[in-house]
Amino acid sequence: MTMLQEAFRPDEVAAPGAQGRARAALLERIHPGPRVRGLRWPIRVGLAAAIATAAVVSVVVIENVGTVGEQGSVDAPPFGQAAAAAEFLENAAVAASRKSWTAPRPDQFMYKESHVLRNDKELETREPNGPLVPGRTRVVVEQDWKRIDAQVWGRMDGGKLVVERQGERVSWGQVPYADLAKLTTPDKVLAWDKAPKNFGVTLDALPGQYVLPPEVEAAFFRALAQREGMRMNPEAVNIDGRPAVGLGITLEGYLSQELLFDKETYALIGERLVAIADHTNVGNDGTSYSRKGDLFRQVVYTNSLIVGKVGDTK
Amino acid sequence: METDAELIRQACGSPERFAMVFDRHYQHIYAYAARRLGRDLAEDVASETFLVAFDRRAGYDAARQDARPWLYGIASNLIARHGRAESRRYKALATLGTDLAQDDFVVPVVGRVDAIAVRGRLAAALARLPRPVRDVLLLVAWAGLNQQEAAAALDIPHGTARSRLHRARQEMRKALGADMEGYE
Repeated sequence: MTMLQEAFRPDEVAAPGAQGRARAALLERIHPGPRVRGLRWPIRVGLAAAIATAAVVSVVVIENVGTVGEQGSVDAPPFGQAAAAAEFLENAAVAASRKSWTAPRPDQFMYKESHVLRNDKELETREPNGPLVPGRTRVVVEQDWKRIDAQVWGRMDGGKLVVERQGERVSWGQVPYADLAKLTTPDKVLAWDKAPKNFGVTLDALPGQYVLPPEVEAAFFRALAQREGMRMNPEAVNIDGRPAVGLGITLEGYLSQELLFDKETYALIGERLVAIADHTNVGNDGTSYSRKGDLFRQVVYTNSLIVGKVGDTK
Repeated sequence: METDAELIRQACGSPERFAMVFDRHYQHIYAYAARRLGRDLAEDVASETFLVAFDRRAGYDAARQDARPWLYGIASNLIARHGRAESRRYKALATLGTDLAQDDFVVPVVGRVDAIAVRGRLAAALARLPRPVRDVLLLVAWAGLNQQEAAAALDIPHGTARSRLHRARQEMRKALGADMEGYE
């Protein structure tokens, strides 16, 4: 033992800055920076009506990056009490409010990136509204850039960056950033939610669709905590290697629409839509059956930040 | 002063407390990883060790006051991902050690075994050791853990750690021959 110790002395000392970088990485893990991406709107026709308000803002499905492991069927959530949901959302609000932040300029962009779990193309074509099938899924990467002043929207399409300008080929709705920046309390958020708007946008979707100032994101979480029917599923799912807690509401009595939070850091890390009861859908074009535990949508938010120009990812 | 166990328990409610665990142990974890992998990879491994540890803090055994075995265990698992790099390093050190031993300008220090001269043979022997055996040996020799702590770090029974350590010592003796005498 002594030989081994002596022969390989002296101890290596970390290079200048190495410890600092490692510490910064740890602190980032302890208090994650903005990495939110919220509920986009359901892409399945059968669920669209149930989940109501459709987004006008950009939803871009871009690139197939391959298959994923078995992530399909999940246990139906044993819902916790509402008080637990409120407590968790309060913790999420505190965590959000600690993020560092510099108010963006009008010419900067909100960059959003997420990994969406979808059935393979053959299955998706055959049954577009069906649940995700274990072993038949793939991950689709979504990337988009929305300029703060709502005049430019970029997206990756088949590996190519496509940039649109407001009113040229397309038009899109985007909540004015100045309006969002004012929503610094839950009361303001709830009032904003009730106010008539030119296009549909739901309260729980917004923190995921926009890169919000920390105090606004915190206010959104606190507003969600006041929402009637908000429930916590403490054993929601493990995504991206992290245990997640789902908080959400029940739709149509059998679907749970949830935001997923990191169980330990309280960071918003994804979303999902899962059946919490068996259900039969009688439709004009046929009858379909959902089983308790069927997973209809799962998204992992992988990046969310302010960038200088369209196409930037950091 | 709070024990590591207390800090980790506190970090479950106040995550920022975990930074103190980092401050206490980072240099040791880095040095251990650097001996096995070299500086560049050591920086990654040491950093990742604390990220993994932070993520797993809720499962930490509060009965273990000292977090070092736990941290070294995580680091060992991360080092295992770089098995080829570790082998290359030992082989390079083996070559270097041989060259230096043959160099007329390397003068052994009186009263002390010339570490450089034997480092090559040690490195060659380390490269030949199966990883599980090497893990136990180096946790004891380089990380300063005792046999029980090494077992805990690697989540293996004490008896297994003991037998691996015994085997490792035999291999090192074999590699060094008479040079090893008196240095157990």
